[in-house]
Amino acid sequence: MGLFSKSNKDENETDLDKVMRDLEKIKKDKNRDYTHNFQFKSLYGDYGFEINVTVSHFGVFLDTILSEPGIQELWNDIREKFGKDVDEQELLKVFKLYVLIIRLLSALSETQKMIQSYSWIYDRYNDPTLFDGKLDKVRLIELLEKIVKYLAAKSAKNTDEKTDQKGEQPK
Amino acid sequence: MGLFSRSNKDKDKKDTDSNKVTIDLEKIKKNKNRDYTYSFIYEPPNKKWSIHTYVTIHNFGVFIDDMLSDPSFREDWNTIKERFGKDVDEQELLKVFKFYVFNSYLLGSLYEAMNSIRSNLKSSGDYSTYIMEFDGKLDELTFKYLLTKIGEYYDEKFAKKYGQNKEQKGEQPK
Repeated sequence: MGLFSKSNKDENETDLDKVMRDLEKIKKDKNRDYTHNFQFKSLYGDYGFEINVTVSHFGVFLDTILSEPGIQELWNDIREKFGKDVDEQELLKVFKLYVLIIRLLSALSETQKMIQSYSWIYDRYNDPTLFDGKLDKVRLIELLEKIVKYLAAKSAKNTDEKTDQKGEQPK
Repeated sequence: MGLFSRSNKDKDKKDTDSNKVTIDLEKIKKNKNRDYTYSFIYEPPNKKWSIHTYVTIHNFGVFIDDMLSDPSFREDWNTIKERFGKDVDEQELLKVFKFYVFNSYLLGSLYEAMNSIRSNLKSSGDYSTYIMEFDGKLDELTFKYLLTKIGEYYDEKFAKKYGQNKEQKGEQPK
């Protein structure tokens, strides 16, 4: 046998087979996670933001999603509307993917709402490891509202000025 | 000495604990490369699965220290200081301003993440997810057509439902 010859074991199982086998194994694990990751790097400093949105027990999510009343109703409508044109099992996969997307968007939207709540804002401002703020909640919210209002007005003014300048340019 | 009085040892211990907390806090603050993560969990009523959103800022200390080196933030801070600096301690105002920028970044990052998912949906970028995670068999064109149609139907149904709710609210006696 030559130095670089393949063993019988290698002949029977290619790398692709192994990958496919691993993939099937992963898919069978109902408790696996499914994650979307987003990274944003600053242009001005060595810092950045990262968002991870993860569905835990992804296999269970896929298996049980139709048991939710609103989703079951929606699926019935979709099946009735498009089920004649395409294999129902494939339509169901596309539908489940759509529900996954809607759920991810909803989770991100809820996080946005949470971050805008007064209690969340005060707790972070007050946290000694973050901003170590000393003002009370009412004063903090009052100042934040003033800052938001002032910067929004400034931004609107800048936009108006730019629009005016564009309008004045010779055609 | 009463039964419940504190011994000097206890007092010393308490002081030492308090000092330790202060020292630990200072140590944390000095680490400019520390991360800050906020996690939000959504669970359906059956609690069989959940969605976790993690929002992380890397190098939080660097972010706080370098924020004002961004010319637009520097300009904003100067005008804020000039406008509101007489009403409140300047250091506290700076903290509020920095918090405002921090919060705006978090919200902006979440907004960008949502935009990215939406544009993926429009451009059929989820085809690979359909193939990999759902073992999909359809070709890309059919997949895109169906996903768009489902989206249109969902939007239409949601808009109809939302409209009905609005009408019902409008009909309620005041």
